[in-house]
Amino acid sequence: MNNSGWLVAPGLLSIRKPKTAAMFLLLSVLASLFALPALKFDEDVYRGYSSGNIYSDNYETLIKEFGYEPSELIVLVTSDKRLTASDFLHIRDLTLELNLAEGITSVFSIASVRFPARDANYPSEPLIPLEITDSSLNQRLNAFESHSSDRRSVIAKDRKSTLIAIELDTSNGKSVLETSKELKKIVVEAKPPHLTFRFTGSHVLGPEIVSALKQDLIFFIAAGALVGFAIAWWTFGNIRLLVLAFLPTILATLVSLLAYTATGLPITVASNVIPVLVLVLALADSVHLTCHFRDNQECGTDLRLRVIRAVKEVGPACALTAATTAIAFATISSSSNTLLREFALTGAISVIVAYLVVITAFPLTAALIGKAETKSLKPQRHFISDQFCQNVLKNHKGVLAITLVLIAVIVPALFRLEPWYNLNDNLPVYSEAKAANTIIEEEFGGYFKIWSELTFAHPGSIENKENWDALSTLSDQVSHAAPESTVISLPMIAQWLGSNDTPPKPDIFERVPAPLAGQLVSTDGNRARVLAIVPEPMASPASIAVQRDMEKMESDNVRIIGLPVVIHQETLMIVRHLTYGLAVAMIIVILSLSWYYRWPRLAVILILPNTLPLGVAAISLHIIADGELTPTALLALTIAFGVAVDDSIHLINRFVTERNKGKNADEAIDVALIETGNAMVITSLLVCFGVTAILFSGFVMVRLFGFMLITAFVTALIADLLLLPVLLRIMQKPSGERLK
Amino acid sequence: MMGLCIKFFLHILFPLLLITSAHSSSLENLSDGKFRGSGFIRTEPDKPLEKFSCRLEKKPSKNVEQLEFSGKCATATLKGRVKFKIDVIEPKKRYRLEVRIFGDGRLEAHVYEGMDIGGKRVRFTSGIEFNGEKYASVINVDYSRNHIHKISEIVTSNASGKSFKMFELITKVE
Repeated sequence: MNNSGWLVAPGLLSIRKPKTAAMFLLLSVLASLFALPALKFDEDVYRGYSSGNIYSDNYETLIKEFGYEPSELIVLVTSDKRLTASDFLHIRDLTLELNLAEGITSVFSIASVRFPARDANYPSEPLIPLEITDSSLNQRLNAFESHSSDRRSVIAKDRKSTLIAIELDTSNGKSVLETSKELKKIVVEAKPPHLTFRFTGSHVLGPEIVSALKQDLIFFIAAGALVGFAIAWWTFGNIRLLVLAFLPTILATLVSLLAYTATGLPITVASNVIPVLVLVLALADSVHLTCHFRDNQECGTDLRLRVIRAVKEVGPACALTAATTAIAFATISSSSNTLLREFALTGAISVIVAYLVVITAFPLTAALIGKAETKSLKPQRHFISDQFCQNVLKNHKGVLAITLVLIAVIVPALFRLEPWYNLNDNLPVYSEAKAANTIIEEEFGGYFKIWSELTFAHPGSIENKENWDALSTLSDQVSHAAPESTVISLPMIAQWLGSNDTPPKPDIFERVPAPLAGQLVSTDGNRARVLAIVPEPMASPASIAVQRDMEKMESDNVRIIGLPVVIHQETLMIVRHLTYGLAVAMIIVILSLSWYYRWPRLAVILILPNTLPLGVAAISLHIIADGELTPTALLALTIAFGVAVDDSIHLINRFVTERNKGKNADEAIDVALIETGNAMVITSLLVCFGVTAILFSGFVMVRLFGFMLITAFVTALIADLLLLPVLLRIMQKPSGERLK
Repeated sequence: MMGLCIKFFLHILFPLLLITSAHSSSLENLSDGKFRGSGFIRTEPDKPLEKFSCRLEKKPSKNVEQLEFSGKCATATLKGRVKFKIDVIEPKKRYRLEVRIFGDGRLEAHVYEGMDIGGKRVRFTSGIEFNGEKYASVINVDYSRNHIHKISEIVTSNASGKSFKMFELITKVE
């Protein structure tokens, strides 16, 4: 075994001891098949936001103090026309019915709202009285809106929609998912035909996400396999070669699913793309091996010799490409985010497992397909001609000029990308909850709770005038920072209930419902909070402006706590980690290749052809995503780098082989381009068309992932065919260096 | 044949019917089970009426001289757990009612003295306070066959003599 023999040891073992290898492979496949029903799908969209940073710690501490995790089921009630008195009476009765159900803490709807004590006509009366007509309803709504800044929390401005917010009791041991189902049943059973009821809330999202994930996974694998099969058939035009390329791929994809069951990790929205990626990468490896097997004329009809040569000469490149992709995945684990670490682990394991299966299954499949006629093994397709090679080298100045122009465009555009994350993109596009969330954000100012917590200067007493004044000031600041949002604080409630005292008399506080009071004052009485209901932090430029204004209020005695803060800060942190991760992946991969080929200058050669495609893909975000740099986009860039560098490896591998055979640089480039270029074009087509299935995902963020991959792969192929040969020629002395 | 039927009715069925009727015609012989109620309530005497619903259950009791009802009651704004305990002081005549309401982390308890006033109605009376003002409270419990079908409360101000219907709950078996 030579220096690189250990990389292809499973393949060589498979040639020497086919029965042992076949048995091992069979056991792995059986284990995968039996483990398939154990695959789990993640249904918690918020799970990624518990990475143990100060913001998530603050939020968790607050939840512990409440004694329950605020978990809401929100019902959006809409009508084509203005809601009528009978609609409101129905909502009132439904509110009562829900209030009596088990497993809830409270229900809040338009029927729960009361007029302020200072109202001239309806002091402290319910907005919806016992009996009501359409005209009296309008009078009451007009009166309420005239002095209510809270109207957006219960009824839309056009009065065609309203909300029912049900706080689920997460402390009684009963499954909140089960409670949600029961409550939905109560609502739907009582629904008048002209009203539309849509549900949202974390416990409604889970089943929708799981269903969409399952659909996506099956579609990705089926479509990826079908497209791969079609391209492989078009490439080889021979059933034996097709089987040789395709069977190891299918086995690799199947066995790689063990990465999920063996680690016990669930399939998430992000990691759902890994199996199809593994499929196309395994197929790309198989195609490279099969192309070499087919094109190797030196071995004549000796199949065993052809297999050995394919494994020994192409196998190391396949191993390196698997390693670079696995490194790309592994660098993602530098993030503190749980979901990303899971993505990194399952991705890296899957890619390595897939390589091992392909390199083991290839010789076995070759033995299975039997002796092939030399005639049928002739190359079928040519994409790269001698003329192409000569033109590339002749026009090297033009290639370099275009590269410089691209760099000048890409670099400033990269700095204008903004870290971004929209939670709604975690939901399928056809999701009922997603539609409800959008309407709620537009009409009601959002549904996320954010608390501004004030630590009193004089501990233990909210009735201290200085404490009360500080709380009133904070309440005003929050109202100013979030002018479109509902803001709730004890000073506002006291005013609503008619107290003119500063601070109010203690009996006022006794009239605040206990669950709300618990959120507005700490149990030790040393802190008080102002609650604001805000939109998702990165739903729009306006919402991020509100979020930033809120976060600016942080000071020595004020903390801003809530899921929006966690989402915003965690996104910034994830983007930062992933950017570092990508840089680290690039450095490790490039230095590793340079070390492997014992060729220091290779590191310099590889930088541009492998970073430019990522730059092009990244700045495409300005066109397709309003310049929003999401964690998904960065994941795609990292994986794209790991995969796109594969073509460079195959070209360099052949270049080095030819140089070591004594050819000069130009001749070696010619041979490498012609012999490897065809396989590069085919495998790039395979990978691009294979991941095209991702573009039809039910999730916006997954579609973006697919688009970024394809853009990076196409650009990387162009860079490898045009720029890499030019750089090889410039950096390689004509006399040649002895390379590994 | 006709005479045999009349005799059978007079001697066998009629006494049985009487026993059953007598058995279920007093408060202490109400059946166990779940029932729901809806009606209206006002939170304070001068406040407007609001819609009001309850889900209650009478659980089996080993002590025949005590009846217990518990469950949830709610308006669109407030909800709470309620517990009624009726002690039989003198069978079919005198009772004591203890009402416990637990909502929003606060507990309220009132004790009433009751009297069967005929017509399958028991009237409970007590003194009660709203915002420091004293009222006389009367709770009427109407039952037919072996279930409560209506509970209502009227309070009368000791100072002004003005009366307010505080709540009325019409119930039906679930």
